[in-house]
Amino acid sequence: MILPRIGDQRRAVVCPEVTRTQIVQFAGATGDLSPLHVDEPAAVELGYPSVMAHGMLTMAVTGSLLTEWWGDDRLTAFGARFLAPVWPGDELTAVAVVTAVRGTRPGSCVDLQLTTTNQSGVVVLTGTATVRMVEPVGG
Amino acid sequence: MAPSRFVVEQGHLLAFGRAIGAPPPGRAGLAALDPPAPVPPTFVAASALHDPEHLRGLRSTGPLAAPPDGGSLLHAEQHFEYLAPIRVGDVLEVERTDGRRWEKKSRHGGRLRFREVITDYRFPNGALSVRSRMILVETPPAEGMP
Repeated sequence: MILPRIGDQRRAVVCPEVTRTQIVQFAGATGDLSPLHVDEPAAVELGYPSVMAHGMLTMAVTGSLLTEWWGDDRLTAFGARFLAPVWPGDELTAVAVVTAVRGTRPGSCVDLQLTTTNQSGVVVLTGTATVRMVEPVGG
Repeated sequence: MAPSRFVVEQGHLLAFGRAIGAPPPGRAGLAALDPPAPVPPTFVAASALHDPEHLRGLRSTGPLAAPPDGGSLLHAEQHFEYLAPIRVGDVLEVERTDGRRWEKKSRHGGRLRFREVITDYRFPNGALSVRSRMILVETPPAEGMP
């Protein structure tokens, strides 16, 4: 088993371009049809420049970095704060950094700090995750 | 509120995966593995689709209902605790409870009203699979978070 070390990190473009179609797909798949996400005139009426992506869409694509790194059944906790809106046209890049390794045997835990930014470097999501330690996917 | 039933269906997972840019599962489908692959970490948030009261009359209901004063309802934070993986074919009982409520002043002097919604996803034997803690904020118009 390869032990992760504090400071180990993965970075990936988790969404090359958020599109209105993707936002509508996500709304349909989750049942979150808030006008802020699917009704452009209503979003503009509320003072926003356009519809915005769901925070949960940003969290879901950020989660794909975790499952690609650690596998899809190792998470024990995953949390996120949605700090800034994500708009159609944005590119999202996620970074996960190991902040703690608790124990050295399988079943021990690795804590991660998560940050997702848009193409301008604006942080749109910060979060944390904990995974049960097994060999990371791809070593 | 009464618990609702969440049947984890292959077609629903396919639609969710497509929306988040997940790679296609291949012709054999998501249930081909033995046991089937676990669902993506945030998939349980899609359980609202299985709530028979949700979007009745084409208006969001439950925690996502629009604020009565015309402001925006925004999702400020989301936290999941995972106790056991969920797979295609699982049937879960979904029970939602209200958590804490609090208020803060916004940067623009308006009032931000926060509330917590806890949702438990349990297997038929009562074992907890996932606990979700959602923090929602009601804002005056255009005080912007997602």
